[in-house]
Amino acid sequence: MKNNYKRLILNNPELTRNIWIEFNSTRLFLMPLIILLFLFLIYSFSENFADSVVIFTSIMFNIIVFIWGSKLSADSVINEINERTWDNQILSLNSPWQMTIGKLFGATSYAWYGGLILIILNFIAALFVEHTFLTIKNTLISIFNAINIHSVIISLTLFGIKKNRYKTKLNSTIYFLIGLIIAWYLGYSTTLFYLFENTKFEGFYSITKTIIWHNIPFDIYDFMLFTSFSFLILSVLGLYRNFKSELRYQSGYSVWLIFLIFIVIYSSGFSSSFGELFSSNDIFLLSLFLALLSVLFITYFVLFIEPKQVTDYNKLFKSLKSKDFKEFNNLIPLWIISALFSSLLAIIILIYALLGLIKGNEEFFFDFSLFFPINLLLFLFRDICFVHYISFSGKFIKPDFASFVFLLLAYSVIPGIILFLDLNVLVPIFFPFSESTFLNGTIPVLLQVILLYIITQRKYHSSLINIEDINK
Amino acid sequence: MVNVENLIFDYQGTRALNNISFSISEGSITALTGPNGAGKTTLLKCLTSLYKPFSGSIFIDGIDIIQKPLEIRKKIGYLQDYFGLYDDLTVKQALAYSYFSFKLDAAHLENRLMEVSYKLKITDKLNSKVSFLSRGMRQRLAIAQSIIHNPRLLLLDEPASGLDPESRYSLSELFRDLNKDGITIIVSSHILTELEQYANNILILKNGKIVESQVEELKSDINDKLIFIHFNYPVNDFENLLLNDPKIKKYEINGFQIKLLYSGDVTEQQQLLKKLIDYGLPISQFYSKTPNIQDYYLRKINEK
Repeated sequence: MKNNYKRLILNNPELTRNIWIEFNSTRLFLMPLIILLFLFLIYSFSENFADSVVIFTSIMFNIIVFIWGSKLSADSVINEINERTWDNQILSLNSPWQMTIGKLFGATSYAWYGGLILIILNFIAALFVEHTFLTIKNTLISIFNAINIHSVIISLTLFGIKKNRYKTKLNSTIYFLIGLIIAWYLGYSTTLFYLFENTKFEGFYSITKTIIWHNIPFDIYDFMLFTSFSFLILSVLGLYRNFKSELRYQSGYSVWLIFLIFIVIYSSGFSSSFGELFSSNDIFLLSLFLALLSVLFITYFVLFIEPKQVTDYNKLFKSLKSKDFKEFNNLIPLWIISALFSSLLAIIILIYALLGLIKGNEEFFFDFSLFFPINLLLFLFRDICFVHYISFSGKFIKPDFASFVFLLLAYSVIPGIILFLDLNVLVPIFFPFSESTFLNGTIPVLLQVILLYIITQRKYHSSLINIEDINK
Repeated sequence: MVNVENLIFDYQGTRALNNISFSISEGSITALTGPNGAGKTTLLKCLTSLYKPFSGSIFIDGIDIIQKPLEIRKKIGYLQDYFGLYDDLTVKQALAYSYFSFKLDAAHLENRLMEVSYKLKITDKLNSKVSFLSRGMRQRLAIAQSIIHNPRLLLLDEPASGLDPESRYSLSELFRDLNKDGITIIVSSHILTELEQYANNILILKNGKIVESQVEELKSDINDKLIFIHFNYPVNDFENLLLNDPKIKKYEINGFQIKLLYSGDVTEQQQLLKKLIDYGLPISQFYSKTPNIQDYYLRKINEK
């Protein structure tokens, strides 16, 4: 590859550079050689060669593409920060799409090289096994999930860069670990499910093979294919959006809105599985709750991963005051969009439940208070204030980790002690219970929100004054 | 070429650039200097559009880089303090990658690559792996990468740090060469004596503020002389002589020695010497020296 410098691969400098780095003649032959050696071993020892190849390629794909590929993805941007090459990337004219493709498939190109050999072997072996289409479907799911995970990991590292904008050394391990956790749910569970269902382990698992989503029955594999493909599209779009932001393009939040809308549609669809157990009113309400809980989870997730610097908020408020909406859309954190979306869902639930009460549908399948969605929101707002207070205080090296631990304790230890003391009526003050009412839920949590909002706002202003006073 | 107005940049808890304004003319070489933490790197990163300031405006070649950061990329080259390179590439690949990253025509790659490597004296290293290059060579490659797209403005952050004297000297020559090609250069550095070899403009930053930005003022101040007077033994009660002379701008008494900043001409200097001898001061040495950029810098930094 030494003298191959005059031509670009797919007209993409970033992809080309990664391939220059990742491939040399030794590595080019090493990967197929190792795979061939394994195949030879399988051929020598297995009774059913085709079945064994399917199992072997599925497992190896997980190791090479999921695990190793995740590590390479996590390193792809972080290494550039550590090697101080990232600024030059930003200042180049590489477009966000070039960077998306270049990083997604370039940094992991060697893992995908191995993956591609395994996929081909898998497809060939699939022709000789009992469940040919199932095997191919499973492999496609694995491919989609792998791209999905890699793109989520790179997106997370881009958030990490934003958060640690002025640091010159970053660690990729946390992003790799998050990737592995997601990989476990998406990749391993799919593959293991497939293996248990279709190999000699059959019978150990008794998962239903049909899933009902928005009242449509799906074969589980078709549904997993649909899920992995949908999330793949969204995660790649998300990565593109994050590269746009990082490369100083006008980015906005439209991709995030699309993602949230998809999450609402996707998560609410699972309520249909309970169709035989509950009335249609209950099912619709359950759909809304599933959507709200999913969006709340995402809100918390982005709240922790996004930067929360006083200076960033100062810029955001300045753009709002000066009605510079272009800049405002660029700067607005995704947690605000998500929190607004959560609020909208909570209000819809409240209105729906109220209308139900007016119409006389007093009993829903679970006994939830009308104030429960509002209380859930108030807990979110309380935690948003708290996380920002910790961040603005400047007293913690890893403020988000500290807030996470504090909140974990607040949601577990305090309610635990209260329960231990048999003061159950006080639990909704510290934990969102579906039975929480206006008196024991809404009012005390609202007071917590007000209190935390005041001290956070004070902390924000004092930090700003500090900045302006320095050097005067 | 560069116009900065009321630039403010904040880090968490610190105002790194405090309402600074300056302009730099086309074709100049500007030395950006100041103590550690003065805001030099932050200013350079704002000028490249890597950092977005809280307020103020930056125009480069007539382009508002805060509003249109993408439009400036073809016109600027940037070398950061720790020049990042891809160690696993060859020099040729590294240059080709930079070339293609600026969407330049593949047909001219070979010519441009040879042109730049010749200018940077790295022609014989084109097939070497970057990781095998010496520090001086790595730095040359980094500069080559930053000028491969023929920028109009080159920003260099501490380019001479860690280089031996010979490499530093050839770096000065390189800056003069690039400047002759029409590139406006801003160099941040601590090594003031070398800045003097090529810089024709100066920007001094201290605590996020511009202490000096006018080369004319620098030159007029450099026209003042430093006069050193040594005595055989310590003497007292002569300060009135110094205070009454309007040509003495500043003085420091340090044991047997006095250091004066003097704006008078040769005749006035002669009269000063005569006055001191007539007063009976035991003068053993009397000599003058034109202050250099370092003297000027230290004075400015201590003044404000």
